[in-house]
Amino acid sequence: MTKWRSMFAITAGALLVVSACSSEDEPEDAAGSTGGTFSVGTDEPDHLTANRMTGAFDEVWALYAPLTKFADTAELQYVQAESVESDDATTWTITIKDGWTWHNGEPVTAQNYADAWNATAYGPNAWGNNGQLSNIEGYDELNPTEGEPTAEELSGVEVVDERTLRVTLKTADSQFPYKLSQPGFVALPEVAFDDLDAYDEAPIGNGPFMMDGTWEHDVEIRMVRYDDYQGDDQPNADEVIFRIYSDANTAYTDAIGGQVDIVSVPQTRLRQVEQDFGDRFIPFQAVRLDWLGFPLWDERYQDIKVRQAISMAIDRDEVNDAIFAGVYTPASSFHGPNAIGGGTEGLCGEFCEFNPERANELLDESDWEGSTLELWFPGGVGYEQTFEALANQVRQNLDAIDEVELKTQPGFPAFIEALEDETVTGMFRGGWGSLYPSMQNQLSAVWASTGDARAGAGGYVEPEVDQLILAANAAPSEDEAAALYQEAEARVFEDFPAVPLFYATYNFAHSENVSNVIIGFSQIELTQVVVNE
Amino acid sequence: MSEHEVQAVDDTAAKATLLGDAWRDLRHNPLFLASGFVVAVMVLMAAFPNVFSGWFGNGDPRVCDLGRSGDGPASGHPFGFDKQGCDVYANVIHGARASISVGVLVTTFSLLLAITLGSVAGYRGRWLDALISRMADVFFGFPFILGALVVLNSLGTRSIWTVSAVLALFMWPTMTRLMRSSVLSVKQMDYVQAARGLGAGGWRLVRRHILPNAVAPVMVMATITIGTAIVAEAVLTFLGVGLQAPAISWGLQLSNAQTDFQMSPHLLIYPSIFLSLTVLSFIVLGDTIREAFDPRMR
Repeated sequence: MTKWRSMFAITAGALLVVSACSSEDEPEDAAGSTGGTFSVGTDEPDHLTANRMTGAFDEVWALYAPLTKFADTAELQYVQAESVESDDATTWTITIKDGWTWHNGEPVTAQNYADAWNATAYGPNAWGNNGQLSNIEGYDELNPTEGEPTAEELSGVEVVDERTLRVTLKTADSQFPYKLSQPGFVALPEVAFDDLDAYDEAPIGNGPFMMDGTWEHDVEIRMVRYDDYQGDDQPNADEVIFRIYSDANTAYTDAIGGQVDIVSVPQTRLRQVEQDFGDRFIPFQAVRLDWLGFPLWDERYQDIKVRQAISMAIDRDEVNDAIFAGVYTPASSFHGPNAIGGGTEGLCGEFCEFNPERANELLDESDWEGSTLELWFPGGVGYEQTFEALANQVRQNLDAIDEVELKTQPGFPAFIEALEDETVTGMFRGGWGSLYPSMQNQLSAVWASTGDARAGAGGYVEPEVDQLILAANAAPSEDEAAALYQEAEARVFEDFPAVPLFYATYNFAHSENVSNVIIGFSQIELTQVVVNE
Repeated sequence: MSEHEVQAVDDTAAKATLLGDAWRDLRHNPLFLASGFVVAVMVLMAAFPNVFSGWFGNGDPRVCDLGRSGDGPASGHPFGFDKQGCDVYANVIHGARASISVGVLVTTFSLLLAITLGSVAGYRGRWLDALISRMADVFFGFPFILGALVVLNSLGTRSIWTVSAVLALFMWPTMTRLMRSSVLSVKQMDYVQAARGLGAGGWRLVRRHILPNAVAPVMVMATITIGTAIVAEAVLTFLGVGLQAPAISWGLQLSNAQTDFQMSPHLLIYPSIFLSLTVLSFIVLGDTIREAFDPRMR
């Protein structure tokens, strides 16, 4: 029997409910809220509805409460879910906590979850987080490869009663409770479905903060504390303002001047961030990998020795020091030490070590012809210097290579489209930040043949890897699962489809106006932020 | 004594043309000599960068040692290293080519347009003049940098040629206006009327009598435009819509330096010095020539 109930979370949750009840008629508990207003620098979101968005995690996790979540540790917390249980890891019973309400006062019900998941999974809606639900029974009927869907609802989602859902998966997945922490799995209130686009401008959620007015495009999004929030992560501040910047460098400069309180640090500023912010710079070691992918559909890159030679021609330490001020860690596998079950460091062996002589030997032994390589990456988002450095490394350390052309694509959407259309004709940027710190996330999204981010693997397909991931998903214990994921990753490394570069960090800095800024796996922990007097 | 007088008379006789007068003025003008010298050096540098960049033994701008990223001046590297660990001196020297090429190309493109359109508008007049002048007004009305930003942003890959073409697109109207007014005034001159009276007409009249006399002010203007175009290229590249790596240009070097100049100020200083010096020289050169050619300034 697999039990996902965390005794700790439940005890803590129960205590809080009790204390919340007892203090209902009293003035606000001083320890619960320190008040004040703070601001967060962000780029323009694509959507504010959690299930639709792919680039507004902080906004969404302020507005919505997930069923489960990971904060800044690898321990799963239950937020809106009371329990997530299964006997066989295929049929799951999710019970939601009682007494939770939407920002408009309506109760949060199991039906709200079912409605939201059906809408997210419905292919023609084209919602950003559609792929996260792909292992639920009935998903294929809603997302046919050709023609119209034959159903409008997921056959694997069943509303048992007001507070209980039963979910049937296509294949056993003991990590399903982790997956529930993703934005594709939040609920939506009934009112959302009256007019989804109007809702997107000022979503009514069930999270710690609620909208104050509507989304002012390219200007700001204001939110205030939701006083009836039932989670145990009650917000400290009264108000949070998301200031929208078109350029992360402007946001960074504004943060130095105290115009905005929390910002993401652009790669280009890492060298001076210590000087500008001192201990107010927070690099969070997420489960995030940067790699170089290869267009495996192009026969010039078929020879594994070509890929290994390029890997050995890059001095990761030097790039890390010069470009990232040593904040990152050179990668020797796909997963660093903070993945659940431990990482896989060293899996890459000598091929991730800088060794120009061996690199040249490998390239000479390989089928490689020609003296020009290409390096594709999205332009305009601050990666230019990074990729110039990588291109210089490869050009200077491989004798047979005279030129590494930088193929800067006009922004991320164009870059990803080129990958998905397989029009990329050279090495390219790969990166994946796992939304939950299990190896399952990256392995099944990127390296499995069914992953929704498999474009980043250059079209890599290996049935044995798929089998190992499925076996790991179905493993009865976390340790066995971790061992099988590691085995799957080791199998990927036998084929060496990509060059691991860095275990990257999420880099944030904050002004002197706020303290207790904690960065988590998929968000800034906004409820924890304390506004200084 | 008499010998002297004879020579003086000869001199005046030989140089009694506008060009001759101007040249006599110019070669004694220290501003002209200084700016001319800088321009000559920069043009040589653009043409043969390797001759200059090798002076300190590390002349290849693409030999980079990432381990020395952002370091200050060292032996053999008088200007220090950039973020990629490449020699700043070699890069600055090689940067001259892109900047000066853009300046010259933009000016050539707009000059050709201006001479053609300006002559047609000034000589033919009537509806052709109205059409060309209004077209020039439309382009003149665009905020220049904004217009270039919009056009360049919509181009996928940008090279010296495309950047120059876009800049020329927004720079021809000023010169065209000048050309037109110059042709208009020359058209009224007695010798043109005389030539017309003798039966000359059409393009022969324009080519032989009007153009040679009308083109001088535009040519002078062009010298100044080179400087303006170099600045415009640097501005656009700094904003990220001009030239792209691996091109080597001062604008790119400044653009890259903007994130690091607090840690490594030399990355900003050296390209700026070369850029300002070049632009200043072209503009001063143009200015002194303009003064020399303008009889009213004597």
